[in-house]
Amino acid sequence: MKVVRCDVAIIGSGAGGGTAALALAPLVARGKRVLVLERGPRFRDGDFTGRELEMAGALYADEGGFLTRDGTMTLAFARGYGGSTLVYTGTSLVAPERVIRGWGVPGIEPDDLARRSRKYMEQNNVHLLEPALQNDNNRLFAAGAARAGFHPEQFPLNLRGCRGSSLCNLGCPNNAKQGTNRVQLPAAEREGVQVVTRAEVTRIRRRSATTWGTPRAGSWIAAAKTGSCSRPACTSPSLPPRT
Amino acid sequence: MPLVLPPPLRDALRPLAVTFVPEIAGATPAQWSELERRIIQALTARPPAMRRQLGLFVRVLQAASRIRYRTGLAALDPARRTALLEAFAGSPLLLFRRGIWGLRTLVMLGWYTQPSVVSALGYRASPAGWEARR
Repeated sequence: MKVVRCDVAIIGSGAGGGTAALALAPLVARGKRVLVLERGPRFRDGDFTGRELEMAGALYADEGGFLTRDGTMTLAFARGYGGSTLVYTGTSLVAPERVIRGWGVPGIEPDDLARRSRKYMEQNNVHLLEPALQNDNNRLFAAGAARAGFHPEQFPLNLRGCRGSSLCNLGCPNNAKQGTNRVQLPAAEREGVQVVTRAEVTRIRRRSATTWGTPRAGSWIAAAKTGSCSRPACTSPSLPPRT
Repeated sequence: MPLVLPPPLRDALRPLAVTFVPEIAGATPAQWSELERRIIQALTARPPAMRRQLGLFVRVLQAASRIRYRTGLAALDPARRTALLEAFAGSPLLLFRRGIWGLRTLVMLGWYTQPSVVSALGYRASPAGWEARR
């Protein structure tokens, strides 16, 4: 069993893990080792074919059919360099204050989160789609909603060079969606953060503030002084209770 | 690695498929073969226990059909077949609801991912994007 020693081990490379990796990247210049462990593979640009079955199998956990334990819900989330930012629609919203208050997490304040969100919106080129790129469906919907007395608004999107493939959920075939695979992770790697793909963390053990993981490709142990489970909604949160 | 459908599902697939997606009744032989192939492919990726569970569930559907209507799924008229499946879909037993959900998902996966079906629907997602639609 190979032991990899590091100072920080981040589990997951999506919206949480990818941004944490870039935020912690300056530690590398101070001699620290930062490791990102990602369960899925690293895709090349040409791997995003847009073919539905093929991409669902390649990107999504259980091909998109991941069931909650009681079998009542499917959860569609990706595995790969960039996590679910590979497959989400690109819609990028700042959590409203009532939602943040509802979380009730000590230390997280709406103003602080809004400030951080603005930083990521800038990094990931989040913007409203220019009118010429809005499709007929959306134009009609907006016109109808306005006529009915509503105030329709666009969802801001994190795009750069969108060609309108409509394949955001299958991994953008034109590399236009600015997920962590395009922005935060490459930047973090340039600063020396190491991203290990095909690394499934199966167990976390606490031993003198040490986090241990066992990635799937062979048996490895990541011995870290600090760890972070970064998939906010899916698999990583289940690790600590399981172990 | 199943290269064929589990027998209970193979025998009941067509009546189930046309109940979930009525337009499948007009499928060409090539489209039907492709539907079966895609379902087999999806099932191959699943654990053997899940495939056995699916086969067992289809047997339960057949048995329910025989008990309630004195005939199997294939011989049931569409209205009765729909009523039977709806009863399972709304069952208080989670396993039955899951079974219907799974079968329906497989049928939709086998049908709506076929290029000929997709283009007939007018779905025009393409890597070339707006250029392809002009």
